[in-house]
Parts: sequence; C-alpha cells; structure tokens
Amino acid sequence: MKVYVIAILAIFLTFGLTAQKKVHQTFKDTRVINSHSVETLPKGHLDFRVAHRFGDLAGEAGGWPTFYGLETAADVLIGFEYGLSDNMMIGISRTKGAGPLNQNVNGLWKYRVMTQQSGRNPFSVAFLGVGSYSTMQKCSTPGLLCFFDKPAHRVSYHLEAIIGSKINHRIAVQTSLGWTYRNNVEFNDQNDLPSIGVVFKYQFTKVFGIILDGTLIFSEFRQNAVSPDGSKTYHNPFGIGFEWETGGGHVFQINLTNAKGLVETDYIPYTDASWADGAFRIGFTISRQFKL
Amino acid sequence: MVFGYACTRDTAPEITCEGVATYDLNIKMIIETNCAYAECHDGSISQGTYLNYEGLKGDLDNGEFEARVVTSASMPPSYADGPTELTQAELDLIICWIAEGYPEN
Repeated sequence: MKVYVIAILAIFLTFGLTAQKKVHQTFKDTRVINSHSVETLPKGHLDFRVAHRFGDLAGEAGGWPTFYGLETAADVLIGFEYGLSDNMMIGISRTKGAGPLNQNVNGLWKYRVMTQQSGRNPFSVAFLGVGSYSTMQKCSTPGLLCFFDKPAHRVSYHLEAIIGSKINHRIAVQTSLGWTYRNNVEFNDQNDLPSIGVVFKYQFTKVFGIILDGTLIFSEFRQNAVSPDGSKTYHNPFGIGFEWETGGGHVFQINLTNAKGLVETDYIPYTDASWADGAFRIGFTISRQFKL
Repeated sequence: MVFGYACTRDTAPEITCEGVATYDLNIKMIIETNCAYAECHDGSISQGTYLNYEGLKGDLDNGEFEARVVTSASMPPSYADGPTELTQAELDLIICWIAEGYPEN
C-alpha cells in the first residue's frame, strides 16, 4: 500500500514540478486498433491509409485451407485524411463493409479540444464524428437493411468523446464515450447504440509498442440475440496489436481482433465473431503521410 | 449530417414468408448449384461439406451460414468457379427458410 501511495505522489509531483510542455505522441497513429485515438494529423499533412481485416485465423473458417484467413478479406479500407490544423482533421474512405451494409463511403471529422501538457493538463480530449453511406445495390426483400425504402436508410453515424493520457514514456491509456446511430435497423434491433471504449498501450522501445483496444456496447438486443444453436450472435470488439514506426512518417501495425469491420458504424453494431471460437483475424494498417 | 440526409428512426419489418421453403423442395438445388460443387463445399475443403442436410445443419445452427450468405453476402465468393452471387429469388428463399427454422422436408 505504502508503495502505491509513494508512486501516486511521485506522479503528481512530476506533473507539478516539470515545466508546462505539450506531450506528443500519446499514440503513434490516429487509430488504435479498431478505435480512434486522441491523436490528429499535423496541419497540412495528408495521410493515405490502407487497412485490412482478414478472415478468421482459427476456428471453423480459418486454418490452413484459407492460409489462416489471409485469403479471405473481411474488410478493406482505402482512404485519405487531412490535417486542417494541428488539432482538427477530416477524412474520407471507402470500405467494403463487413456487416449487412456494404460498399460504404465514410466521412470523418476529429477535433482535439485539449492537448496534454506536462505540469498542466494531465490528458488530451478529442471529439470524433463519423458518417457512413452505403452505396450497395438495393435488394428486394423487405426486412433486410439493403431494401432501402428511404434513401436515408443508407446512412449511419457515430459520435465519440475521447480522453487519453500518456502516463509516462512507456504507458498510455485512453477511454471514450461513443454513440452510434443507424437510421434504419433490423427488426427488434435498436437505433441508438451507446458504447465505452478502453485502450491501453505499452511502449517497449522507441519504435515498438503493444496495444489493447476494447469497446463495450450497451445494447439489450445484443446481450440477448442468439444463433439457433444458442450461442451469442453479437460480441464486443476487442483487439491486441503490435505497432512499429518504421521511419519517415510510416507506421506499420499488425493486430488480432474479432471485429470484421473497420469503421465505427460497422464494427460497433455488427461484430458477430468471438475470440472464444477462434474467430479472430489478422489486421494491418499502412498509413503514409505527405506534407502538402 | 455528413451527406446531407435527414435522420430517420426506422425499424425494418419482420421478414415474413409466404409458404414455407424446405431443404428437399427448394434449398437443395440452390446449394448444389452455388456451393456443393467440385473443389468447394463438396468435401474438398474443411469449411463445411454441404452434400446433404446434415452437412449444412452445423453451419446453420451456429449462424455461420446466415452470416456469410445473407448478412455479409460474402458467399458465394467473387473467386468461385461457379456462380459468384445468388439471385435475389434464391436469397429470398434462403432467408425465409432460415427464418422458419430451416426444415428439411
């Protein structure tokens, strides 16, 4: 107990005694694994981003026949993001889509309202807005989401408040409050989906870190929905990742996650794979920044 | 917001089916044409042998069949030797059949 008290006092003293200085790189990227981080792009930087979620690594659909899921892509994102200022970024991407809504065009806006400063602010705060529009073909079965009897049914949104802190040069934590809204949902499902995100990062070396990223979704429908064999249909997305900064603004991240979708409007409502069934997949993201 | 569309707050109707499809009558032929042919779900690969109802039932019970064929429409895949997608009529039949508890006959 004594040790903890001394440790906590030491942290506060450290904050108190050091000069006020902006804390950089709480996370190396604007994304953690599935979630957004508190980071935004620097002003004038254009980020070209390609992200993949492959098929199941293990379980029934994984293993050697699909080369551990690498031959079956669950989702692919290709996008451009741009830093309007050091604290505000916008982005547009196209995703294949892993849920019932496919061929999505996604817009994003993120604004960091507070930046962590040693000796002053112990954390950074950012707000995120995402809008997704499905461009998939209309189908003819009423009851399926692709029936699209109103154009607005193609649209879903996600809003999030993110608080992150770099505790020291090795440890960073983040939590977020999210609200996902879909204009149209399947029978018995709910339009509003509140969620809480929790992230932990441990930096082993200057260029290599390990990250954990989980989202807890508050949805009675998701708690109770079961497949015919009695197993749960929906699961909370959770990922573990390894991140390398390879120099020149290039971040390489490889991760394992049960989420199939790559954007909040997809992976929050529609993660139906379970770690326990071996239904997790390899994902990686390559982002390349150009200074315009 | 982003795309200038008004928000709606709608729930899709429950999928209703006129007449019940059965495996023997309607589904077997769709599976044989689209899934259970050479080098695919005929026993050539480990992910499901769909040569008969028993083979299909496991993936129906665990929701995998519905997830891939109906929800994400990733099966049949774009690289298949056979048809790369189901027709809407085939999909409608499968949706109804699953909704009614996928009876064999």
